[in-house]
Amino acid sequence: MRQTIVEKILSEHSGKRVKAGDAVVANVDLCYGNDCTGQDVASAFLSLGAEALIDPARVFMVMDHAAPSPSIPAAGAHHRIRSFSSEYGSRVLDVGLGISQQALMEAGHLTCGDLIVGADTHTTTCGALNAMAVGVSATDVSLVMASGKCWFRVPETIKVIFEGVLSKGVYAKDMALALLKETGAVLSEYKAIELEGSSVSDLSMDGRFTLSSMCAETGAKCGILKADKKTFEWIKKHSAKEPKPQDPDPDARYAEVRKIDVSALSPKIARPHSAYDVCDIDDAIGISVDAIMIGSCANGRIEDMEVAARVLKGKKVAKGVKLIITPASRKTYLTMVKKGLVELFIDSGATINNPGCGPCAGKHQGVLGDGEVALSTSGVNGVGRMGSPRSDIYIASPATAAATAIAGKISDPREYKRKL
Amino acid sequence: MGSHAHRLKIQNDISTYTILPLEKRGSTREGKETVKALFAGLEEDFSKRIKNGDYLVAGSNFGCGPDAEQAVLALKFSGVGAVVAKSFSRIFYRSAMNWGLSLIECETNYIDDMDELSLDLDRNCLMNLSKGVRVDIKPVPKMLKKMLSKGGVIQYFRDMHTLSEVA
Repeated sequence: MRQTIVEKILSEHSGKRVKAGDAVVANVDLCYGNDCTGQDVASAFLSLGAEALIDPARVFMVMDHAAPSPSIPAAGAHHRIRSFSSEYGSRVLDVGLGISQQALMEAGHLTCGDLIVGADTHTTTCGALNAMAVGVSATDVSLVMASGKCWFRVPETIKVIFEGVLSKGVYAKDMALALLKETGAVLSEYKAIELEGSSVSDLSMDGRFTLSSMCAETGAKCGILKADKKTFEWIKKHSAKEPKPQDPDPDARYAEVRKIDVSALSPKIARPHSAYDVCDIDDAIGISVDAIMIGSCANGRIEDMEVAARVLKGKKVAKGVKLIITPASRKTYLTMVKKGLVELFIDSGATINNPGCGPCAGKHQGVLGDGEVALSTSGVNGVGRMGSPRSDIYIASPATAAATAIAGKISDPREYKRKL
Repeated sequence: MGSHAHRLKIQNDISTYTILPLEKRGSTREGKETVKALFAGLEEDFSKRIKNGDYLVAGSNFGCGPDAEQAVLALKFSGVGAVVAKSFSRIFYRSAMNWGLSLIECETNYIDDMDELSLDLDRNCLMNLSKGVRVDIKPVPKMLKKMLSKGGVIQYFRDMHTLSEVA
């Protein structure tokens, strides 16, 4: 036995028993491109000379990065992706449905044990469903479209065990930032991360998606969780696909095992311009910000919105500060409407975008200018990510973001302990 | 007879932006025109110095940053026989294998600029002929060796007859 989760999934999908260090060609359950990569995916596919998609039901194009189109070139890209899809039968998840991973999962296209590739760095988000989800290039996706297959170097796995109970004001995002501080990119490069332990079990599925999304920032190939009752309930609610859960063997071989005690964690902040430059909130309190962004594949789901709303209830966004809220999916947005969150956010002075990536990719809906400072609940804060190369991005949880929006400077969400 | 090593001025965390600056990139398959722009601003006349089959030598995390197939193609068309580094970023590694650019992972501290190197993939080692030293390399999986020998993933998939109705 002695297999990790990814070794099992790649064995299952390649028809042979594999171990870390092997390279295999495996059958892929689903592949996708987005409105940034979709054109490259389509032209790579056409250059293969293949006549048809091998299985159109497994090929998706998602309009999420710059949607609705903010420019003529973006509109052209959308148009070409739609034309390609109507000719070849790939399925389009169009403007307004939300961020690719969230939209695909909520539409029921994924289940436990699946192998998924996307021309998108944050494909890892789907790992919380006990699926192996890997970001690849446009060429890789085009080959899956023509053959149903992709090659993989079977990664070694790092097991990260989170134990303990989170204190008030500390969330999955802070766990992920603590992990980034510990591991850094080099450690997890080309490796898979298995996330487990009592604190992971305690998280809702929304919190778990935050963890698997943030695994992309570690440089890992994927982040994956074991399936439990919460996973099965979530899948049952969204998908008719039969789950094929994969647990690691008790004697599986790991490159490394790390334990993180979350009981003593305080809210964390990643400073510009690296997701590894993580500090405790105490070391960042008081830094003035121009914009706050709540959303993204890391933290744009309903639980994130509810936490932010609890902090903001009865309060106003500080003068001169923009609070921009972007639901991760149409479903999240609708739930926000039904629960009165939209009204609450508007009353507080926030601006609400349509579902999608929002300003995180620096393409629209709140791009940063020279000298501007933002606090974002996304995962990426490299130079120029949200616009100007002369802007700064701090990364934190939705609670920290909401507290910061009220003060106009980085603030500790534990000031609002009674509301949380 | 081996080929020569070209050790870069910067060794670690060389990003795809450094390999091929953004403003010099064409569309994906126009690698040939972009060779001259390799390492622009960092290594003058890199493309002229490289002789067919020479080795590019770097430290860890080579090719980090966003996926850039153009950077891989420019390196391939420059005649670089293999990039030798302590480690590669995952996305760069994939793209290199996809386009048939050999990547060798090993200790690179003791390779100097213009050392004569000879690669032995069967024995998983790199001979530094100038220094008379043998360095073990991380074995390249058999499947990837085959893929590289076919010039990349597209031909490999064609030969496996896995592509649907290829014209």
